[in-house]
Amino acid sequence: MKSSGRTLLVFLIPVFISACGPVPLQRLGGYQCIPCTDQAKPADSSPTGATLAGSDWLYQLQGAEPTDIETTSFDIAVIDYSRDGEEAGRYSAGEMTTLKTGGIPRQVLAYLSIGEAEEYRFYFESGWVSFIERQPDSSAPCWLARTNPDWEGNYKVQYWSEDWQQIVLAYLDKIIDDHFDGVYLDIIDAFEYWSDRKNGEGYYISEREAAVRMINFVKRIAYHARDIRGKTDFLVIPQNGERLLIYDSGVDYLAADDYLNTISGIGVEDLYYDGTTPVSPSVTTERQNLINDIRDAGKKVLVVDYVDRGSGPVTPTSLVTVFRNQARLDGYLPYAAREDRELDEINSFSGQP
Amino acid sequence: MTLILIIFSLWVSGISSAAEVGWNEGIRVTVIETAVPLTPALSSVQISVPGSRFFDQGFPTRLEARIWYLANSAVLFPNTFVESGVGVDWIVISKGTTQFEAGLGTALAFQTRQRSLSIPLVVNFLSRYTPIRWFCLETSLDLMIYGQGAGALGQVVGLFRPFSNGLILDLGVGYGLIAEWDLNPLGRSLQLSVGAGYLF
Repeated sequence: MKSSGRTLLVFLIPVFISACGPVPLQRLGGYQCIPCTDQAKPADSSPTGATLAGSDWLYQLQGAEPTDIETTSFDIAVIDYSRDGEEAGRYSAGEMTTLKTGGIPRQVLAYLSIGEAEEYRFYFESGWVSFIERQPDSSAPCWLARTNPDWEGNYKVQYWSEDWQQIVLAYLDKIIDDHFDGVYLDIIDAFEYWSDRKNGEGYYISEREAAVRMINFVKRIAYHARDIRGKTDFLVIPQNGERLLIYDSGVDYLAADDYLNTISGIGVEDLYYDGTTPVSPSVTTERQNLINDIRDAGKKVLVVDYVDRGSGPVTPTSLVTVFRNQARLDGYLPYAAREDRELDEINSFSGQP
Repeated sequence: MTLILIIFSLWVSGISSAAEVGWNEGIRVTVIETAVPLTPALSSVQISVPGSRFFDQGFPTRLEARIWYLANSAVLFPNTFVESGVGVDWIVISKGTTQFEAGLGTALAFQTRQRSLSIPLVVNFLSRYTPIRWFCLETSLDLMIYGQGAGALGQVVGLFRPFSNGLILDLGVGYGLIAEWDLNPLGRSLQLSVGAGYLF
């Protein structure tokens, strides 16, 4: 009994001294989020660029052809800077002229993901990602995070990293060099990802901190285009992430309304419908409470809902028509996209545009 | 839970006795390279010291001390993580060609870039089956309990002694899961491992 008691004590000692500290993902090998330490400095403010002048917008991210767009009456076009996403597919000066002036005057914005890295882009090195696991390996830069399970080949990034921001600014330079009128910034809502403790990274920051870092990044993009590159009318349109406005009251090193003053409008997805399913009215209203601040500041709100099944004739009661009417009624510019979310065609039908 | 396991181990150990299986009669040193699943990701050195090596009879002969060093790189120098630990296993059942062990251990686990230190409690279970002299099948489950979460790693390892000397080759497959206390999974991994060691 005495001996057993000593044995028990020997076993229990580790119990008392153990089980402290964080959970190290590296214990299993494979991907581990390493917080970047090269955080970008506070960005300078820039003058607000031009405003969107058009009334009908086109959203096509794959295979956009200038000669096709020329024949439409969309006067705003959001496209990729390249036909296929790669350097070789960039549009020539002549094609950009066609896009901007063909048929009608048109403002052309380039899609730019600032919260996720895309593996087919010029900056991405295939060796950063393990062959089978498809997660960043130990050779990846610190800013490269988990792959987006809903969009294979896209990876979350620690967008506040100076290294990542330099890549985005180099990307922006290409867009400016190609004479786009502005950028359409995607994955703005990455600030919500990085403040979600269940993001799967084993690392998160407060939503306030994440929001401030995102606003700062958007300001930097605008400053780079409008001041450093001298494109004073350059349009900066974020997509989604309207909750950033909650933190636009001058928190930390930001001035009040920094974000609102910087952006030229906003793009919003799935405002009324998630696919073809109506979004809860309370969710729509909650989003509109923020979006309308941008609208009321005289800036355009572009709404894209993926409501078009592509079947049957469009009637006044068709979902696409209901969606467009509602958006117009609320003072927004609607674009009814195909339900598959591929955005690989000009979705034109009676009433659009 | 841990206490229950310990008590169970003590109870079972009191009613079972059998001949030792040859694979853990000597000091075993093994170097293991683990790929997740094919990319080399973890390297470790494991040293196993059986109580029977130093004691002839009684309680200590049923113990087995383990010491390990683990680093997350293809070489033993750590990339972002290094862990060094020690544990004691209790040979609960030892009958003929089979053994079952339960053990406790602890470690110092250091994440170099975050500069954070964790001290996990490691609870492990291992069964050993030796159907023939030159082959041993080990099935193990390691539970790692941290302050902010827990991990589990299950492994099946085949050990080969191709020669009459103490050289051991091993080949294993495992699956690991790590989660915070709210059961939010932080990481999962399929592991393949190869190793070489010597039984002194």
